[in-house]
This record gives sequence, C-alpha cells and structure tokens, in this order.
Amino acid sequence: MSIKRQVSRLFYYHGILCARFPVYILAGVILIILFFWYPLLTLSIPSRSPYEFVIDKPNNLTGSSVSPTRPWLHRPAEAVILQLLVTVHVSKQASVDALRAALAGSFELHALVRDFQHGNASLSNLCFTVDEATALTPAERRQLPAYGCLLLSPASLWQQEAEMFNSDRNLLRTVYVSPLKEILFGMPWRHTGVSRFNVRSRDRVISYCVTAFLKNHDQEFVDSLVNRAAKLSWAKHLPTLESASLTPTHIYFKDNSFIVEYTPLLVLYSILFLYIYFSVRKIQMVKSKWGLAFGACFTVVASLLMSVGVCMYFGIAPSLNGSETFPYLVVLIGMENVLVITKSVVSTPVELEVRHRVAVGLSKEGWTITRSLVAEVSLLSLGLLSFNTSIQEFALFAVVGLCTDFFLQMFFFVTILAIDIKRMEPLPVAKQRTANLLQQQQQLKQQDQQQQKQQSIQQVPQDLAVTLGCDESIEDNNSDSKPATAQTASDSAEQLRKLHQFHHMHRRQPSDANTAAFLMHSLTAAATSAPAPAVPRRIRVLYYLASKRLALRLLLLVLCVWLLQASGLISAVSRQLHSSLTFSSNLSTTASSNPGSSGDLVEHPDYQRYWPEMAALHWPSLFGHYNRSLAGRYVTYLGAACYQSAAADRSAAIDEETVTEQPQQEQPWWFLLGRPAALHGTWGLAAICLFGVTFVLTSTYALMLCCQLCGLAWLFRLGSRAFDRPPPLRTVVPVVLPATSMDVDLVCISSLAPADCPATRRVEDRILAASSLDGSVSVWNLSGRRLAYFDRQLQHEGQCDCVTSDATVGPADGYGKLGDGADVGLGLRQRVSHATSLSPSQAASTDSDLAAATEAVPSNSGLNPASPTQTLSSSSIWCMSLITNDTDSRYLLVGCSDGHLELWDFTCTGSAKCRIQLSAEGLTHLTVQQSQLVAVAATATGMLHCVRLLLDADRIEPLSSCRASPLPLHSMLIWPDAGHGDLLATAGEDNLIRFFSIGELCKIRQPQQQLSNNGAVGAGAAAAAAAAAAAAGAASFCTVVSAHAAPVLALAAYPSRGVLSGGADGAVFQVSPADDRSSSGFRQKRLVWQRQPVLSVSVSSRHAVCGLANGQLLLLRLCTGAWRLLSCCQQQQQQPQQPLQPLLCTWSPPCLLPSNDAIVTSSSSGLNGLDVWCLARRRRLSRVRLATDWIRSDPVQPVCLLSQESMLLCKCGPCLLLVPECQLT
Amino acid sequence: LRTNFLLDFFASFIKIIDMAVHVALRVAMLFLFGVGVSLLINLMQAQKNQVLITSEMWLGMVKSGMWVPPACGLSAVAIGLLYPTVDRLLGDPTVAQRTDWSSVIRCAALFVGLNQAAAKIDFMSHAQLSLCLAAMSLGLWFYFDGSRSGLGLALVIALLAAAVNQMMICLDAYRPSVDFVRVRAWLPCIFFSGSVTVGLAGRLLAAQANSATSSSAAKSHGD
Repeated sequence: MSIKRQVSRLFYYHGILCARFPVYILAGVILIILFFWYPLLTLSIPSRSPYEFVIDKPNNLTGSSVSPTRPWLHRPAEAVILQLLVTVHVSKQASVDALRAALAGSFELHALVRDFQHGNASLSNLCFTVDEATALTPAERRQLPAYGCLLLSPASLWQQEAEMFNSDRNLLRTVYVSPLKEILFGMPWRHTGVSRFNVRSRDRVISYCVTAFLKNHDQEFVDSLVNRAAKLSWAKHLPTLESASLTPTHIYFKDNSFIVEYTPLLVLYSILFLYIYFSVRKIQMVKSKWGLAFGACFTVVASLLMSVGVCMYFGIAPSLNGSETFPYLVVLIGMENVLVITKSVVSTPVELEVRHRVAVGLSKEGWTITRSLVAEVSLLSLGLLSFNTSIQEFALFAVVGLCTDFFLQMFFFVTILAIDIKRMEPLPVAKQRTANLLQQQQQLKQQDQQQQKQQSIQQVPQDLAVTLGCDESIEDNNSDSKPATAQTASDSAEQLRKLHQFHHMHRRQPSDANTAAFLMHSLTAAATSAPAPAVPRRIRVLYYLASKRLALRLLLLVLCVWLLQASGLISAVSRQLHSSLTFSSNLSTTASSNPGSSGDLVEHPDYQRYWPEMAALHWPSLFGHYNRSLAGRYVTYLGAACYQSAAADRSAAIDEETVTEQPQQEQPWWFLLGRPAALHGTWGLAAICLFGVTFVLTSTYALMLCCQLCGLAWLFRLGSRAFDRPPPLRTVVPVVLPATSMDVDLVCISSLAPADCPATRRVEDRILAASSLDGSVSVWNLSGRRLAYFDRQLQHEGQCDCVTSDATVGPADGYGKLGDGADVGLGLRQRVSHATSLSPSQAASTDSDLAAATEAVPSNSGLNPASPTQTLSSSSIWCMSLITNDTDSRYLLVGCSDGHLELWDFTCTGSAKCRIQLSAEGLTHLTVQQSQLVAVAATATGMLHCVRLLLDADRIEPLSSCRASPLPLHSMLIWPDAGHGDLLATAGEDNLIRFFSIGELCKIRQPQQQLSNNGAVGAGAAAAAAAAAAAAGAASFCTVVSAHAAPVLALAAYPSRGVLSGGADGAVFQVSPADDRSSSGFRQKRLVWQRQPVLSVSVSSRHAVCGLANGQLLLLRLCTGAWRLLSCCQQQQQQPQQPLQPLLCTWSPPCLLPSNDAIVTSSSSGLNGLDVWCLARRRRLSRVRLATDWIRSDPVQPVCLLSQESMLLCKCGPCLLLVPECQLT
Repeated sequence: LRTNFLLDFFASFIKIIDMAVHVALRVAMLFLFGVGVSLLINLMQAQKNQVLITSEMWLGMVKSGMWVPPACGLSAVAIGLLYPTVDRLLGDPTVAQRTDWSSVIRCAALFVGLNQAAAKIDFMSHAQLSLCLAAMSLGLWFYFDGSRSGLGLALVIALLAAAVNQMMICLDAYRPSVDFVRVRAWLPCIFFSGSVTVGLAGRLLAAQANSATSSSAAKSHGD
C-alpha cells in the first residue's frame, strides 16, 4: 500500500517535471538517444539474411557415397575452409596494451600460412582465389585480400604490415570501427574476449583465427600446415586437438524458394502493422492523433535501437537476424504503456493546469506500469536461464529494450503528450462546460414543480456527499427519495428536515484539522493508522534500518570497494604487502607462477559452438562481398586447429611500457567482486543481466525508501524519547468566560486596528466572539466582560431589520407547497421574506425551502425562547469574522450552513442588520478585508462570493461570484501583500493553491444582476454568457500554484512574505512571489517532505508548526529568510486516529532566547490541561493543570496566543479560558 | 392484431437472423484464423524440413495432406466457441473485458514467434526444447489469459490433441516426418499456446457479438 503510494507520488512529481520543462527534457532525451545510437554506426549488417544450411558429416571424405537425400554432394565444394585458432593469455599487468600483445602473433602466423609450401603444393596453388571485393567502401576493401588467395586474419586490418600495426596508437578503435572485424577475427565477437572497456585489471584471454579458404581438400597439405604452425616459437599446439581430429563438415546453403523464405516474414510484418494500427487507434482526445501515433511508434523503435546500442557498448553484438526478431521484439515490448498513459492523462479534468493533468494521469497509472515492467522483466529474465544462446540473446535484447522503452516512455512520450495537451486550449472547454451546466439548469427550471423538488432533494445531498466523500449517505438519501414521487408534501417536508440534519451533521469546519482528517480519512486510512502504539514490529525494524540508512551505506560501501578494486589500488597494496611479508618465499612463488605452467589453464573458445554462426552470417556475406553467391552450393569446413600462445613473455617483450613482472597466480579474496574470466560466456551474461536488473531495482527502491523515511525516522526516534520522563506538573488558574450551555464551536478575535498605538491600547479594545453549537453567539472583551449575547433564532423571528435577497425574480412557488406541511405560526413579514427569497435556480429554491421548513419548526415553540436547545436550531454557523475598522461600531459577519451571510451589530442594538442569501450551499470559509470592507465567502463546492459591507447603510452588497475550484476548498486566507494589493489565497481538494487579487475579484460582473434585468424568460442565454465571462475572468486574474501531489489541507500566511501550505501528501511548501515583481509568478519551495498528511499549519513571526495526521508536530524556523526544519515531537501517542489541532504560540518576544520556543497543546497524558513543549529540546517543558471550580471532563484546546496581552486563549466545553502566559513556562 | 403479430414475428425473425449472422461471422473468422495459422506453421516447418504434412504430400497436394488445414480451422472454431461458453458456465467473464484486439494480435504474434523458435532454433536436446517451449507457452498464458478456466481448457485441449495425434500415428493414418521425437516434444506446447490464442480471440469475438446484439436489441426496443 505504502509502496503504491510512494510510486504514484514519484510518478506525480515526474509528470510535473516533464510538463514543466518539455524542451529541455526533449533535448536531453534526444541527446541520450543519439549517444546510444552511436555504436550502431559500426554495426555490421549482413548483406542478406542468413542462409539456411544443412550440415553433413560424411564418414569418408571421398564423397563416393552420395546419399539420395544429399544430391548436392555431386558437385565439388565451393570452398574448403580451414581455421587456425590462436588463444592468447595476457597477464593483467599488460592490460593497457593487451590487444597489441595478443595480435602481434597474427602477422607471423599470417605470413607463415601465406608462404607455406609442402612438397610441390604451395598455398598459392591450392587456395581459393578471389578478385576485388566490389561491394565495399575503399577503406574496407583494403582490409580484404584482392586478386589472390582468400586468407583472412586480424593482420588484414593493417594490410599485414607490422609497421603500420606498431605505429597504430589506438588499436581498439581500429578494430572496433571495422565492420569486417568478425570476418577477419574468424569468430563471433563475443568469443574473441576483446572488450571495449577494460573494467578492471585482470588476466585476459584473447582469441582470433587465421582463416584460409582452399580450392579443394588436400589432407596432407592441411596436416603439414597445422604441424608447421605449431613449430612457431610462441605457439603451443594443444595436444588434445591433433590434426586427425579435424572433422570436415559440409555446409549446404539452401536455395530456398521466394515464397517459403519470405511468407512468414510477410505475415509477421502484416501482424505487426495490424497490432500497431489497433493500438494507435485507441489514442483519442488529443490535439494531434498522428503526431502522438508517430511518437508512440518512434518510442518503440528508438528503444529497440537503443537497446542494440547499449548491448554493443558492453561488447555484445547482435547475432540474430534483425529483420526476423524485430517484429517479435516490438510486439513483446508493446505499446500498452503509452496508450494507458495517454488515456489516463486525457481523462483528467480539463480545468486543471496542464502539468497537473499530466502528473495526475501519470500517478494514477504509475503503479500498474511499474508492476507490469517488473513482471515482464522477470519473465524475460527467465529466458536467460534457458540454455540456448539465441533465446538468451533475444531475452537480453528484450530486457534491455524494455528498460530503454520505459525510459523513453517516461521522458520522451510523456513530454510530447504534455506538449500536445498544452496545445489544446482549456479555456473554451471550460466555457462550454459552464454554458452546458446553465442550460441544464434552465431546462430543469422549466419542468414542473414536483419533479423539480424531487430532483433537488436528490441533487443536493449527492453534491454534499460527494464533497464530503461519504458514500453511505448518498445511498441512504437515494433510497429515501425514490418513493418520493408519490408522497405528499408533508413527507417531503419530513425529508427536508432529514436533509437539514444531514447538513448539520456533516458540516464543514473552516480550515480545521478535524475536517481535513475527515476528508482524508478514506485516502489515508492506512497512513493515519500507522503510527506509534500500533506499529508492527517489522515496520519498527524497517524504521530503525531506515534511520540508520543501512541500505544506502551498504550500497556506498560496495560501490567504494568496487571502485577501489577497479582502480587496482587494492591489488597494488596487497601485492606490496604480499611481497614484503613473504619476501623469503618470493622466489619459489614466482617460479611456480611462470607462464608456461599457467598456459594449460587457459580455455580457448570451442569452435564447434561458434562456427554455425559464422556459417550462417558471415561466410555468405563474405562471398557476397566478392559478388559470389553460395545459394545452392556448399562449403566444407575442416575445423579449427587450436594453438596457444605463451603470451606473458611475449607481451612483455612487445609492450615497452609494462614491466616484466610475473602474473599473480592465486586468486585474491575479492575476486568475487570482479568478473572472473570464466564468467565470460552466456552464463556470465545471464548473471550480469540478472544482477544488473536486481541491483537497479533494489537500489532504486532503497534510495526511495531512504529518502522518504530518513527525513522523519530520526525525528521519530528522538521524539519518542521525550516520553521517558514526565515533566513537572503545575497548576494555573485561568480566567473563565462562560458562554452557553452548549459547547463553544468557533472563536474569532478582532485584529488590531493599524491606527492603534500599542502603548495606549486597552485590554477592553480586544474583542472575542464565540459561537456555540446551538447557534448562539457571545461576545466579550478581553477584560472578561460580556458585551453581547444573542440567539440567532430569536433574532430571526423578532428583530430582523432587513432581509434582502440577491435574487428577486422568481415565482413564489416553493412556499405554497411547503406550507401544507409546515406552515405554523410564521409571522407575515417572514413569510414574505421567504417567498421573495426564493431563488430562480432550482438549487437555491431548495435551500430556501429548507430554510423555511427549518425555521418554521422553532416557531412552534417560539413561546419559550429561553431554552434554545429545545428547538431545532436554524441554519448553523459555519464561519464568522469580526469587523473592527471602527472603534464605535462593532460588527460580526456570520456565514451559515444554508448559504446566508448575516451581518450583526452587537454594540448598540445587538441585532441582525442584514441577511443575504449568497449561495445554495453552506458557506465554509469567510475572510474580511478590514480596510476596504470587502468580504469573501467560499462555499462547500468551491465557489467564491465577494461582497461589500456597507456598514453605514447596514447593507451587504453582493459584488461578484466566481468558481475558484471544481472541488471543495480546504483553506482560505487573505494575504496582505503590499506589492500586489491584498491577495486571497485558497487551497483545495484539487491539489492547487490559487491566488486571487481581491480588487479584481470584486470587479467581475455578477451574472444574477443581468438575469434580473433581462427578466425570467430570456435569461438563460444571458446567464450562460455571464457565467462564461465570469469563468473566463476567473481564469485570467487567478494565479494557480500547483505544488502538492494531494489535496492541500492547510494554508498559513507569514507576515514577511509568502504562504506556507501543507498537503495530504505530507509536503509543506513555501509559496512566495517570484523575485521579479513585474511578473505575477510564484516561487514554490518544498520545505518538508514526509509521509504523513499535514493537517494544519500555523505561523508566527519566526516559527511555523505543522500538525501531522499521526499527531506529530513539526517545527520550522525562519532564519535569514529561509525556513528550516527544526524539530519534531510526538504530540499524542494515545489517540493516533484523532488528529489534533496544534496551534502555535511562540512564547518568545524578541528578547527571549530561541531555546524558549514553545508550543502549547492539549494534554497528551489524559490530564485535563495543557502541555507546553519546548521544541528546541524536543521535549515537554511542563504540564499544566487548569484549576477552576467547575472543571469538567471536556478537553482543553488551545485556540491562540494573544501575544500583545500575553494570554493564551483556550476553549473547553462551553467556556473560553484565558490563561496568562507567564504561568505556563 | 394481425399487423402486430406480423411485426412481432418480423422483429424476432430479424433478431434471429442477426444472431445467426454474428455467429456465422465468428465461425468464419475463427476458421480462417485456424487455417492461416496451420499453413503458416507448416511453412515454417518446411524450412526446417520437418513438416506435419510431409513435403511430398505438400507438393503433390494429394491424399492425406489436404486435411490438416481444414481440421485446424475446425478445431479453432470449436475452441473459439468453447472458451466463452466455459467462461459463461463458470461465471468468469472478466477475461474478455480485459482484452482487446491489439492484445489478441500481440498474443497471435507471440504464438507465431513460438513456432518460429521451435522451428528455427537448434536446441541441445529434446528435453530442453520442450522445457523451453512449455515455459514460454505458460508465460503466454500468464500474460494474456491469466484465468484458471483458460488454463484448464488449454491443458485439456493440448493433451487431447496430442493423444489424437499419437493415435493417428499408431493407426498409420499419416506418416510422421523424420525427426519424430522432436515433433512429439513440441506438439503439446504448440497446441497449448495455440488454444490460448484462439481462446482469446473467441472470447473477444463473443463479447463483441454480445454487445452488438444487446445494443441492437436496445435500439429496437427504443424504437
């Protein structure tokens, strides 16, 4: 589960990266592709596809017994091929010029064979003569013999001139660039032992052949040639392979008919094109289908070519027939990932930013892609275990191709997909959507009343339930509303009541840790349930290992040892040690390790294994170079006579740089780290491949794990240590501000007016307002005097001064129906107000129905206003804010669950000044810009409503409304920023942080006013256009910052500049305006990246505290303009499920030392009190018990620190507590 | 009344015809698929000189050689119809939902590749050959099919086909080619992977036919 999340998170950030810098990434990828394609230049492509051949091993060579199945034996052989195979053992001291030492002998051997005479017969008589090789470039032509005997050896690379060979400074390059190297060496390249990169110094075995093509078979001549070659000074003929054991083999190259040869290939390629067609057809909803289809094909083909290049870098030349294996490789690698990525990215909502769409699409499919990649690689790695070279090679290419394909998909295809999506303009799409939505609403409005009501019943809870992410309630409501067609109005009133309860039950709290946890519960159930007390042992072990970074260190250690080993340092040191320690026995050691005795140990390549490949690929193409065809002919292969060079002496003699030191015979203990020479074959290949794959996978995972865990693991360890010894307990007497009989819900504090001078300010100027769960509001000043108390329901009935509505048009249709069930004792004035407040949109009418129904009920018991708990409460308060621009008049702005915004005056009259319906949904967030008296309210569905407060006229004037986000918001604040004017920052479920300029937000034309001007009938089109304009406007002045990979749960502005945001992905970002003030861009910087969702962020002047879902607190400190992660503590171990509300208080006025930085939290030890944490020391500073005479069982929750007054404000049940700061520390 | 009856009759008649056309299409496609694959395999084996239909028979197009492709076609039809039926009986129609034409083609291409590997690559021993082929065909099943019913059916079909093959040789119905052991070694694996491929195609055809008929039925209903 957690791996899944981590992988998808990695994919998310990768998507962001790709969509952000498409040009750079494309350029880099193309460079990488070209780099890996470079070796393909030296790839020798056989002139024709290999011939099918038949092998015949006759008992006698006379050819007299021609079997009926071998009619081709009647004719003489085209050529007779004899190979002299030389194996050179080069000691590691000569490693720099190992190739030079090995190849020097080929000149001598070549000359010997060329000039050999036996009796009358010389090679020039017997040999197979050729003309000039016509089908080659002049440089290559020089390397093949012309107008004479066809005799091939590595010496031909230098035209058999030893001076040229000796003056060639870069032998390896000369060898590698030649496309004829395999023909000249006489064996497939992987058998030669020549590798491009000398990874570590070791003894090496290099083999090559001198290949002689004879006209006909003369056994005597061949025998004498083989024996003569053995008499060379350096050559040692291996005793096991006498000349008699050379078994001639006839190789018949079939002259296949065209159909038989090419039909399967044709079928194969038609299947391939069908596959590509059917795959590419599925790419839809993109700007350029053809472009993406081409991109997908290019990805596959380029990855295959890259895989060939990669393999050639490591010295594995492809020996399979490319045209035959290519379709299989394409089909095996497949284009599925590409299609899946495209589909997933395309299906993300179009409102999002492009890079965000790409990232979300990638992260959705990241896990499946990774899983299938691992499955495919492991399935194909099984193919390496088959004992067949062809299958192994195929599997190797497929595995490497899969990896390169994955790379290209991730970096190439995703980037071009991002570019493609960027080309699609999102704005018209959004306009279209809004218009459609409005049209739908219009259609709905025109339907009859019953249906409308029913639909509204269904729609509202669904919307809300979707918002809140709880599915059960949807089902319940649906099942309830199904029989509603036949029900009477009283039933529907009953349902409305239920609906209201539902509303009330699932109310949203503004930017609250609890809310966030509730929303995140389904997403991060595992994450939140993971922490301290229930941690399984294995996870604890894992944490411990991660905290020690064992895997990382182990990998580093291995890497270091390997590097040292490769650089030869260890061997040098150990040789030094060895010689100094065993100086006395040094002579005997060197004597025993002379090259003569070591020679027997050297293996030579088995020619029986490699010659079929030569016969299939190279000899026909060699004859093709001379414009001869072997089709329908046969050649006789006599085999290879094996020689071994006593190489060490010779190499030392030739190589002037190297010292004539004896090779080390005994294997050192670290030989396992390097690649022994014995592992050179296919087994070695398989082992290396498997090792590579596992190494890459494990190291990637280990790195990932370490990176993500080490950030918190050590903190975790230290944090838990703080519980070892409980801090002292102290008792504090707080000031109690009793509210009501119900628990205190929301608290807001008046901000300091800028004109106020701190010196002359009085405690009485600071105002506190607290709302309780029953809807009553109490207002105090800080001296403890209650300024006002009002119950909103009573006010609604009696003293509502003015009730206005933003929508005045619309028939009073809902009210009459409703009145059947719930019309009891409403005052005439209120009836009228409700009738007029019915909104034309169906959703709004539902809501006013709701308001009417629910407010009708308390009026039944309206005779007893003193007990508000007995009545069903009206719309509850979801957010509120104090307006304190003037010392005389104090206003309270309240946002309700039914979408009303209320303005209360609590100083003189204590009455509701104004009540306005802003939206159908409840208002979840409310911020007020005090200087301009502009308030912004956000609804549960992401709409922003901007109003102006006309305090003199006691009116609220709706200014504008726009959609901030398609998903609910989690946090909203006003960020006073001098450069741009005040900015409104919102953070929401859609992972984005948006910044609005408040000035421009107010200027958006409001669609409802147009609606009212045009009248009800023709309003549809106008409203649609206005809404579209509003959407367009919202897109233009809104700056979107996409930083998080998950919903952003918390926002906090810090005064100097910038906003801190905490997300469900566990990251905390600092978002600040870009340095270039002219642009409206924002810079984002990740401060913290860990696993737990960040539920809350609080900021003071110098510190920030993030509350995590598992109850941990992270403290950040602002030093020299940058935030640093300071420490972390485990706040609550007992209840990991219950997220906490850590609220920061810095105790430190500037004169105090930073070590006094502290945080106050609810008590973690079950005590009814507070904990004071010293975060610099990562432990609790003290525990505080609050001594009051009425103490209850409610937990004490700190709300905020009133820094000017040095008081800590807490809430506890129905009371507010003021705790003096000095008593806490 | 009469017109109604006639209309009903006509509608049901059209429905039956529709279904029949769909089934016939399925059958024809599967048959063609089987014939094509058998010819292709034969061609590949002909390159290796190990042919199911020996070269003389093939060249002459006489006697017993001709029956193999139609037989392959018929068996493809049978398998292709059997798979969706078994899926329906066992109540596991998930495979058809996961597959689409590109994956069927992918599977077919890999099946052809399997044949080519069996025909072209020189293995050290027959045991090695059959082991490799078995592993590859199991991998094919795992990657493309993955359902237990598919595995069971493919196993049963492979064993059955191998048994039939063996019986025919015993009855001297046709002469096996030169390297008989080799043929016997790879034959069940080829049958296995072939039935996986054909089964996949059959399932997809059935699913498409179902959706087509249901959508057409819904359309007629709506009219």
